[in-house]
Amino acid sequence: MGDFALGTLEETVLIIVLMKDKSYGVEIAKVYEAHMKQSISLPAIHMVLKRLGQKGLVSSDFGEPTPERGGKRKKYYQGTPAGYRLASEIQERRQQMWSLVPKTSFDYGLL
Amino acid sequence: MGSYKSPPKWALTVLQKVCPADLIEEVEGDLYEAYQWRTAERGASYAYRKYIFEVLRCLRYYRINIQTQNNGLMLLKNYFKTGFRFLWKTRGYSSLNILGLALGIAVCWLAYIFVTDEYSFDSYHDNAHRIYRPTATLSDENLSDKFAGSSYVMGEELPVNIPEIEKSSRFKSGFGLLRQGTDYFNQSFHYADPDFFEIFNIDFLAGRPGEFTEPNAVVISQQMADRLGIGLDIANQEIVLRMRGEDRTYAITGIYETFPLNSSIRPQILVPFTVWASDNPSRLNNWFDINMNSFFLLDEQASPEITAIKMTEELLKNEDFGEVQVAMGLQPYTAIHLDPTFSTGNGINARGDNQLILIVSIVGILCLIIACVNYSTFAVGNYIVRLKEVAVRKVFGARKKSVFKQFVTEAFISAFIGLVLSIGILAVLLPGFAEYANKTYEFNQIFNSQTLMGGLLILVIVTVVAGIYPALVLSGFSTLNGLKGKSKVSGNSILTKSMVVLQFGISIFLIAGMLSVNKQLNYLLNMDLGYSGENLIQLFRPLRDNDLIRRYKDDLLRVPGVDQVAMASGFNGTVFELADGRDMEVRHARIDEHFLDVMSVKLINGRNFNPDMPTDVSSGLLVNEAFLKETGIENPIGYQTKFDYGQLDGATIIGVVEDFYFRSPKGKVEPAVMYMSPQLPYYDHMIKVNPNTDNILDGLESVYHSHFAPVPFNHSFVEDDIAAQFELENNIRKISRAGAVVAVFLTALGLMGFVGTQIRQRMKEVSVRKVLGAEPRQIFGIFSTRYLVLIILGFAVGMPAAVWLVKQWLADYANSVGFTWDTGAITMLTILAVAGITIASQLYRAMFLNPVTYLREE
Repeated sequence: MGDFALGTLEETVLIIVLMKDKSYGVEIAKVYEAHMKQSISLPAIHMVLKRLGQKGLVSSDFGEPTPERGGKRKKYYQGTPAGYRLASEIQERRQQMWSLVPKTSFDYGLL
Repeated sequence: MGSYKSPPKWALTVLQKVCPADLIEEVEGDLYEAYQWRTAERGASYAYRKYIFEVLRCLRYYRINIQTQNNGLMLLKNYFKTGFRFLWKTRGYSSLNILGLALGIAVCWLAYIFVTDEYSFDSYHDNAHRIYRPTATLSDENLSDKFAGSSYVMGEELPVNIPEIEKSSRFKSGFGLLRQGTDYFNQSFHYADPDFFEIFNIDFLAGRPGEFTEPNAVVISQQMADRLGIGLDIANQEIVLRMRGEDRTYAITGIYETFPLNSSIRPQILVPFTVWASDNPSRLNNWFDINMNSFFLLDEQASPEITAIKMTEELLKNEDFGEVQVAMGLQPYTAIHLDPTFSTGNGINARGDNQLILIVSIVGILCLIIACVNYSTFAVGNYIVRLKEVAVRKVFGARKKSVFKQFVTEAFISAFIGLVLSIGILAVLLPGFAEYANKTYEFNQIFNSQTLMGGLLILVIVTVVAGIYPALVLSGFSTLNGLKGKSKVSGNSILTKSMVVLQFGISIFLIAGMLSVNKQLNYLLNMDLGYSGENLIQLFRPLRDNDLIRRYKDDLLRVPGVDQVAMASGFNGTVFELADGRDMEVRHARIDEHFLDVMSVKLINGRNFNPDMPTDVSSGLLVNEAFLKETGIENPIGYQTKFDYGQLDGATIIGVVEDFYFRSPKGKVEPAVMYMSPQLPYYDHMIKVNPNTDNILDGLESVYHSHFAPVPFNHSFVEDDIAAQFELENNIRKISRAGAVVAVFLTALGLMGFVGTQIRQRMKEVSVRKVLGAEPRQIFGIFSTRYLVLIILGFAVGMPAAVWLVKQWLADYANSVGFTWDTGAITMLTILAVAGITIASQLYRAMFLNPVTYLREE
């Protein structure tokens, strides 16, 4: 799996970052909650983004201060090419593996 | 978008504290935005909870914060580590040092507990600051008399006529016999008015006081209920009190929580005042029949001074005092315990003693100072060992401030260990101390939050006082000299020496004080009182009926071992008019013809009473020397005085007795007259016994019972009573003795550390001296003279202070030993002996060392 091992949450956040041109903490949390149907705490996301940044999978820069943030600047995250490659590689491998799972089986109560 | 909701401020502050600088803007902004979003979506309280939760999650950044920013916490950890290492390295001296610190802390803590307990008296009531007790001052040209209390009618009328008085209750003690089964026991009880339960915080565990006016219902404390064995079930419970010669049965309508130990009033049985009123119908209307206490609860806005003036006006409306000036006053309830102006009694427990408080505080503070100085001198004494460490720290960029912090931290470590150890010492000391101070302390009861606060306070003081000097010396040291190993620090040795002088001064002060107290007490105990209490037993019972007295006396004399029996009324005070019309206060008593013999009072002029001479019985008078001196009567025998009391009028002096201390031996002998005339009931029965006879008390008891049952037999030995008069002095003696011993011990400990470290650093010098032929005696001389100078300086500091304080204390006594030279000499010798032994124990190694051991390395 390349040079980096990614945790589940790291992978999920990376994919969310890749969805858009650029996104920031609260936005990521909203998307996460919408897709995963469960809430997440912001410090967890910050921690993950920091690790992703250290691994060179995302880059970041500051936006303009806005009133809904209490006069603080947004920190925008963007996926790097390395991030994109890693994410797509993971998805591909997973797809491949999933294709080997039989689609119809008595064992799983699907028929 | 309208206005933005702001998240909780404190959480934001926490976030800003813990978040590292590179993260804070993003995190703070995101959390803020999320707060808005969650408020809109799931409501304010969800957003609030979530915000706090997320801030708490951010606490994990704190570690990152420490590691990335080089702040003080990491260094602090290092200080603790080196501190413990150093303690361990010098564990011998350090454990002595910390033990000394623990002892000093324990003594000071004990003093703190005692003093705060004394000052906490009576303040626990919600209304404490508004409760007052009436007092009165009478004065004319000659005399001024202050007393606390009020009359029945004052308690009735003043609250009605003065609007400032919100609530009021009279309070008076009564004594009776409590019946349990068929036995009777002495029992005090208290009369109170219904408002009593509203003025004070009194919690009822069962029942209620109700109206508290019915004459057959009382309320009792839980302690009393336990004694009676009735628990909290008050249904149909009764208590039988024998008062005024009859058994009275009262229904118990309530049980209240027992008053705490730091309360001036601790009634066990409360009886409605209506009971007293119906027993004493003749005393209800006299305005100046002051025989009870009252408590007034004043209005929140009322001024006690103005209320007191109004009280005086009310009093003057109802009673005429002629020439005499009279003023009513109000004493704050919380002042009763420590204000010596007004007496206690009548239901109010004995006052605290200010002298004892002062002495305990002095001992506590001084012991703590000695312990702190011990620590300082020890820490500075070891500075050579630490110099290189400090220098290296400085080379690596430590500032003066951080070295300072390091040594204060080390002082804190020692102080903290000392504090923990002192809890153990405290547990050992507490019961003994409680006995000396006449207190009932329970370890777990005393160990409350206030006491712990005191401990923390002491911890802070010790850390600062003990740590500041070594910290200053070591942080101010030049780095280069430290690395070179040069150890002379100019100036600091003078400071160290003056601290040792201070310690000696304190020890000398305490020893001299203790010796003086001791001497004064011995003097008082052995003073010629003018009478002898030897083999003298005293019984009590008011006796009026001559027939009964004769039969009772005959019965007593028949008890084997009883030599003689005398009767006396006890000495009361009255005003006596002199020949020139001046008034003089005089004590008077009724005695019988055996009194002088039984008490061994010497007759120095005239003759004793003769019961067969009718004039002796009707108008004969014995006077004491003080009376003659005060009145100036020159030929006393046959002199007809103007003394009148009761039916007695114009008594004639028939004899003069030597002065004897019929009252407190601490004061002067007052002028006194004695007569046989039956103006007072006999109260004291003085019985001279033969000490070699067995079972005298049993014999006396059966006689007593045959005449006065069911009154319980009460007796005392006059010798014990004399000793009991000096109980306070005795307690002061014990406490000052203990304090002096602790102080001397601590000083010796400090000296040991001081001398020990100095000598260890000078072993090479000693070795060279020995190689050149110095004798052990000479080495001892070289070192001990310099310490002798310090001791003498300490003497010069401590002695004047002790002389001054002892003179102040002795000024209260009519007969005192004063401060004498032998006290000073004994003090000096004690200190010299202790110091000599201590120094010798340390010098021993130097005196007999083998020079090779210390010279080999060079």
